[in-house]
Amino acid sequence: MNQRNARPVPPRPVSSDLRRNRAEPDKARVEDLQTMLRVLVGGVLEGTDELMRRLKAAQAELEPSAATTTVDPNETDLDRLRYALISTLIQTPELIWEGLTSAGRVSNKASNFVYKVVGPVASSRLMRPMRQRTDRLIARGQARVDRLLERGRAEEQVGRVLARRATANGVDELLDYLAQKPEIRDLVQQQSMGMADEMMGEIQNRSAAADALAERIARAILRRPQRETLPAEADPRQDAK
Amino acid sequence: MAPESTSVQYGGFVSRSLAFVIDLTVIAVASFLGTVVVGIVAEFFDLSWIWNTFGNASQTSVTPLEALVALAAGLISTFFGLVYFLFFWVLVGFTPGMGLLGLRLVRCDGQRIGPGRAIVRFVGYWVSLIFLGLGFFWILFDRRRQGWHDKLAGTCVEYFD
Repeated sequence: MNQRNARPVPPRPVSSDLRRNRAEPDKARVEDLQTMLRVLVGGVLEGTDELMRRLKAAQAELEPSAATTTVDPNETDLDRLRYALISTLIQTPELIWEGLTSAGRVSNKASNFVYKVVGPVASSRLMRPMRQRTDRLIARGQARVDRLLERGRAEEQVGRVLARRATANGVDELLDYLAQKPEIRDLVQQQSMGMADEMMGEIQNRSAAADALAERIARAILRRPQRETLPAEADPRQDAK
Repeated sequence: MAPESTSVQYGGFVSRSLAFVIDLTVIAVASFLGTVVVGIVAEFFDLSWIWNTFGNASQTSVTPLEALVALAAGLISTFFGLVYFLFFWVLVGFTPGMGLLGLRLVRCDGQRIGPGRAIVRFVGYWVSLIFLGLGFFWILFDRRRQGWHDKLAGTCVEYFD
């Protein structure tokens, strides 16, 4: 912090009066933005709660049928890698939670130990100035966190109310409508991985076709022979063997 | 997409560009999150004095905090980009973007690449880029669809199946 004192903060390029005048017309915009953010936050929170409630209900219905799994005899290494990745992904929150819990325990033990060792020194008269400075820093941080919490608490409630009013019963009606559609129900009940596989296969096929097309165009523009007409070359893999 | 000489199908310009864009998006998002964390920490603990100590803030129009966050963004992006590509190329054989497009990176004799080649290839990206990206467009005309970075590192990008 000594450097901070030694080197004064450079003068601001804009005077405070000018800044105030410039800032005033924008205040309404800032408030609009804040209202939008409140609605967004409230919408996300409300939507997430609703979605979770419905997903849990759907999962409870599907669980008995998903209890048994079948192993495909044509399963490849890539499939197994995918299953391992999915499993890891699903387990990640659990692992993070366990990690955080054990980290918290270790941290507690470490701080107790450090306090026992450093406590007598820290509470001595010699360290009083340092202690006062640290206390002030902690108090400042604590006050800031308290303000953040207080505002966040109030904003969440306002956001939820705003989002509820904005959507009224629209979300419920839309979800009911979607739930009644057999196509949508079938879509939800399909295995999502199968869908993703199909989609990726389609993207890969199209991008491979686009590769060939781009190459054909580029070679035609520069009047270079097309790939199909090139003479065969030795396979480096065969050479390596 | 007929293979040129053997059963090996090399990844073309469009697929590889798409894969690269996906990877860059992942890196950008991760760097953004990292920068946000640095920004919050710097603002919370009032760490703008770091920039005042090492930089000459009076000569710029940005605040020390903005300068610090911009510096952190640059460092995080570069470091994360390097670690991201090296990790996936060497240990997995393909980056998430390449995996989604069904591509993998190997030596031209089909072997997995090591850290040395991966570093050369990463540096090769910049070589390919500085000549107006000509090194990347070389993929369109090369027999094995290699860019300059592939030529430098002796690597090929091919389809899984």
